[in-house]
Amino acid sequence: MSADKKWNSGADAADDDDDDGRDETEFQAMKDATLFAIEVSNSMIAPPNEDEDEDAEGGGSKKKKNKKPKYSSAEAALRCAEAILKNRIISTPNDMMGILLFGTEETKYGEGSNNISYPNCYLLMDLDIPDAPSIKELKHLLDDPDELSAILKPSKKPASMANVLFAANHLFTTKAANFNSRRLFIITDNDNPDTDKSARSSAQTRARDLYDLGVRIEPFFISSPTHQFDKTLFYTDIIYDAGEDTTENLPDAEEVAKATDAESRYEQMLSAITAKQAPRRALFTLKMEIGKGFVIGIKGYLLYKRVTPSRSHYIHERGEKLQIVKGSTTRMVEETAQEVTPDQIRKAYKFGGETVSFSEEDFKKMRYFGDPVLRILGFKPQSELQFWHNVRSSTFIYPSEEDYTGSTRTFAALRNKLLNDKLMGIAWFIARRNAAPAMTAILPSVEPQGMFIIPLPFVDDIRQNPEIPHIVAPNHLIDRMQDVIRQLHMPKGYIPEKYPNPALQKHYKVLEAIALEEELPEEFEDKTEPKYKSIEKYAGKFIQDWGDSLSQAMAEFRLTRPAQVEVHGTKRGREPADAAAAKKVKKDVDSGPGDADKEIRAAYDKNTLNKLTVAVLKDWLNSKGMSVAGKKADLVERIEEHFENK
Amino acid sequence: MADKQATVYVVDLGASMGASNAGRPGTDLDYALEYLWDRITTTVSNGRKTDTIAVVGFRTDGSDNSLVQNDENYANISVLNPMSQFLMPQIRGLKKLLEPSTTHEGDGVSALVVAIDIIEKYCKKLKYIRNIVFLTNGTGGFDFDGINDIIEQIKEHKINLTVLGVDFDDPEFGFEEKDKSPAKAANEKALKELCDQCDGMYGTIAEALEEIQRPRTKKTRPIHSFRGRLSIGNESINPRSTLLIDVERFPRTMVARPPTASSFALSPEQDPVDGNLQKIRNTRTFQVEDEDAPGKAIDIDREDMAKGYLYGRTIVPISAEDQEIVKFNTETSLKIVGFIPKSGFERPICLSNSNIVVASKANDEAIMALSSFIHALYELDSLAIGRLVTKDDKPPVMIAMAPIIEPEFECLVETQLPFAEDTRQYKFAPLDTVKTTTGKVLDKHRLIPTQELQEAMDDYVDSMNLMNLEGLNDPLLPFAQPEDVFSPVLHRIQQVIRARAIAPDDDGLPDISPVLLNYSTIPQGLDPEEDLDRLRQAADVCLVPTKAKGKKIGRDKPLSGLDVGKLLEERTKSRRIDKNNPVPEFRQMIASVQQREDIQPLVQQMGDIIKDIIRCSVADLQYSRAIECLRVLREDCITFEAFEFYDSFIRELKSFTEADRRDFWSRVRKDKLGLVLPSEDSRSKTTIEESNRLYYGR
Repeated sequence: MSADKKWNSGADAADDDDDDGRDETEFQAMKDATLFAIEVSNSMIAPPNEDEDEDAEGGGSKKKKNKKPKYSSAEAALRCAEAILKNRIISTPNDMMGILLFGTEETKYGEGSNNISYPNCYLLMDLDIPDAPSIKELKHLLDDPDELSAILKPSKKPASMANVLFAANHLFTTKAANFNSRRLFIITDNDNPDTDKSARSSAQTRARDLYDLGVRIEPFFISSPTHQFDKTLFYTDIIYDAGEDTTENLPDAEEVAKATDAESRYEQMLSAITAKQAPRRALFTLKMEIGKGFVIGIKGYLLYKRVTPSRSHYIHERGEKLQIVKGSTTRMVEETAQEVTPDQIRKAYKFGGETVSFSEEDFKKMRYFGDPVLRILGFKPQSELQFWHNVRSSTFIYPSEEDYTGSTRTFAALRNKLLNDKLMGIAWFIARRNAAPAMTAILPSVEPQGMFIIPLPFVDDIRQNPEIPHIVAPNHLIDRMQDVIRQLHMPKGYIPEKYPNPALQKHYKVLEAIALEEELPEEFEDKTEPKYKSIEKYAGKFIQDWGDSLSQAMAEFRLTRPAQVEVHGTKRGREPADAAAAKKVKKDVDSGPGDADKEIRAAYDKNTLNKLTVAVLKDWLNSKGMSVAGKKADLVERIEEHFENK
Repeated sequence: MADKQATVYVVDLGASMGASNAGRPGTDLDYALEYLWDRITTTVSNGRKTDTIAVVGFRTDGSDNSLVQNDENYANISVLNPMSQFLMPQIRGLKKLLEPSTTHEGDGVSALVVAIDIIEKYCKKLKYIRNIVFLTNGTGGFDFDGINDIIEQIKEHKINLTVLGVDFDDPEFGFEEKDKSPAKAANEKALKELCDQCDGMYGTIAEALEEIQRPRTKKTRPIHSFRGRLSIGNESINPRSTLLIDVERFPRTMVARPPTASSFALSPEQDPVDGNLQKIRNTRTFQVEDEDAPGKAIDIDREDMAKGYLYGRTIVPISAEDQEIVKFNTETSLKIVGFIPKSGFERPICLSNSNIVVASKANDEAIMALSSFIHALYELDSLAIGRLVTKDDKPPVMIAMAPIIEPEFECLVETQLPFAEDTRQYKFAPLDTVKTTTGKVLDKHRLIPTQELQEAMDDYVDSMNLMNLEGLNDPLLPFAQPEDVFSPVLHRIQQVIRARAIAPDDDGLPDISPVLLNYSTIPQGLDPEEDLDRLRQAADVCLVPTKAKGKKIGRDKPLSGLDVGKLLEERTKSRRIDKNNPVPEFRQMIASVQQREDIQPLVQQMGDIIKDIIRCSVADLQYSRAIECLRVLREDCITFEAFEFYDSFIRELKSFTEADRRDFWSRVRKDKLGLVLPSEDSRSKTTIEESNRLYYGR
């Protein structure tokens, strides 16, 4: 199925700007391998300093302390690794991860390999796509303090950095050979390992090897209140600019956790690592034409993209072993059942009951509107961009010095101007060769610093409004609604991080539970549900006021205009006092708008279905998924049948 | 979905239509047909059965219509195509008939009567849009006796009459034919009068042709994508303080996709009717890997398969019953989560097309309730954040809703927002400061704009203001307003299909209609040359030569600037690549060579290591490693202008894999690691064919 679909949708592929990575080389670029190297030493495993905590304070803070466990730096690092591991299984299931401890008393390095090569290195988790057993193992380890401290036992002599780096080299070479993104995260508090000169030189050489191999070292330095980490002692000799984008300007080595208390140290570390853990994957490298023939280089990134649950696979059980079934599609000529080779395939459009066909060359050529470019036609105030001018997700752009030097400063100048004057660019945009051209708005972005491309709709993409009676609420009703809105104001705006996707979370929670052979979670927290208690507390009264105001407004309205549909009047008769018609208490009726149901039911009981208008009957039938064909009598009959059979 | 439609095209085929006029290369008929075919193919491409077409020719050599038997006034009028849905056979049939005749006989007005007759008989009293399109050069005979009765008929049947003439005068459009014959002038006048009296359209073909350059947009009837209740609060907590409004949701924007092509197989035999394309059927087969089986895989029956998911590398089987557990149960709803200020809203987080939300149209109270919601939002300059479930058991989405208030229409407009998982935490360096390796923060740097550059940019942007320009397609609209921009791909593909449909034997593609390229370049009106020159100078942007890009290997230094090259000297001098560390050492050595001849032995060593890896690989376990080495080898050979060494090695490798490592060669092919092409090094003489021969040849 999927293979075939891919082929057929080939024609549309260019349209689908969301989908990057179509050809093989690009696909490679999507894969990332990350190895955590965590130093084990006396200071790394030391429990956080008790004296630093404010013991003097009363019960409140004690309670807080009891709730929050204290981690040593090494354990905190391991917990970060675990959190990131679980996160990556959802977001990037094909990426590899591994954990290497160094400076341990025990030495362990994969099966079959020679332990002597990498003394005092402990490969806790081999570099691979994570699987359930290894996650489970890590979990158990973190739950068992004794076992953990057995492994996190420092050797007498620290591990040689050259060995650590060469071990990483070996892992990346053998396990993640042609991964485009390979990173070594070093978490340590030791700013001056290998004081001996020859050991230093060999570490520097090994670091150079990693650089030439295309492995990027990302250090996370832990400072303590008594010791400020000084990276110039050792680390600046082994870290290179990866040459990504604008070289010198990248944020350099991350310094984490100066915080004294262990809790916030863990959180700091986690946020620092999380921020770096997602390798930046450029969607495209492109020319941005700011004026006629005046071009700079940019790269595009997708910062917002809907993540959906992983697709299901067919699996086959053979003996003990589960295997993924691979499906493949063969194309055959329908009549002769002969297999079709790719060069026999022609693309054709249906037209006038037949097909209109094109050669492969013409097929490509008809989509060609010029070379890829982001061409700015001019500028407009940002207020010209309507809220509804949206068709798909945006793309973030950032300058690149790779092809044009001076791009960054020019881009920065343009961004400054757009920010200061609240302007946006209007641009013609072709993302890739033969991609569908789009009209776009270019908006400057405060954070991250850069700009966004917002694809605009074409006239063909704009739909008509449905017809609907025009009734404007009177001012007193609007005022009451304003009261409600003020009560439920979220001044910080919408923060995506606060709303995990409940469907996705549940999917993976269940998979995790089954894979790790744990209990299925019974209750499941959904953070997207409104906070009903606070709504009731803060806005409840105002909503009631609004409801009363609505009843009043409707009464006034009825005087000037008769009800659209008579039955609404009847309903109000039946439900006196505070019940506004738009506020309906859910009763045990069929699904769908309960209002119409009651009306129809009431009319049926009183045998007055005939008095209702065809529109009302049809609406109701529609809502039940029943046919709306025929004359009014047919409709009435159909509804009567429905209730008789109930 | 539009109404039923019946259109009769009446085409003048008189001998005079075969003449060429006004310096046009084609005949008058060709000119008129350009319009006719565009109209007809547009109808065909809609593919609607209820949009029917008839074609009547007049001044034809023969006579073929239902009225001629009783009245010889109807001679030399032929029904070329009866009223029917137009498909390819009709197009082909009609094409053959649309040739200038050898006669001047045949009354145009009678032809109009034939057309009315066709419509009358076909549509009866049913609900139809009735059209007659009349194409002529106005040189033949028109008998306007009794025209009043005809006008009455046209009015009675509510027929939309359009008369288009070759080189008819049209002062409004600005066309006047010089040296017009008095007969033609008289006909034009009478036809114009006819149109005026029955509210018809009258014009010159040039105008009509200009008009059809403008792509037509297809109207789609609004269909709701959600029906439910907008709620604030929870009924089960306190029904009295719960706000509920019956609402419906309709698309506001929806990307109009071009028609999709399907795949067919080219058949060896030529079939004149169906062409030579054969339908393709896809068959699925399912396999699992099996080391012992021939071909290393065995087929699996559908019954022996279960469903499951991957959790990392681990396969998690989920039985049909378990599917329920994985599912996230939801109820159709639109729940308000809260309200946010519009000013701080980050527009780029919007993920989807936009939809409008309106109250149920049959519910006045809901309309009024929603109106208060819309106005209150507007007055507080706020957006509503909601959690939307469009159908039971569909996953929820978070949405932002903004008010739209137009003179006769109010609604909310909504787009989807990202969840926590949907945002990617990429880090980008700031653009206004530079942090050096020593931690110093600079605000003057080559990556930061100078004041001069900033001023030049400010002036340039100011001079590129689009607000005073009018729409390029519709001058009444602002420049580049979405309503003024046509989807280029959509209309281009439709244009190409229609052109190919009426001329299947033509090679190549027609030029892109200029309308579609209107917005592809900087507008004519804006040309601030001076400002641009100043900007260009201040920015001093330079193209990086392609050669320089790859050559940085071996020159880089760590952040401290330490000269690692010195440390490496000992190793590079040895000229022996460690097979445990091939990629870095090869790179370091090739970067350090002084003479070209020294490269060859390095390539040789690397080649041996690659072959060794392949040889020792259990099945394909080590292939990735070998491929990686090969990729680096190729890349560096190109960079150091030594591709010949690579070419000769890759040929050698091909024969090496011939024996029992063919699967490795297919990896080489997949990763395109074959012979170096001229596009990669201009000195290469390798042709694509040669390269393919190595990839695919035996």
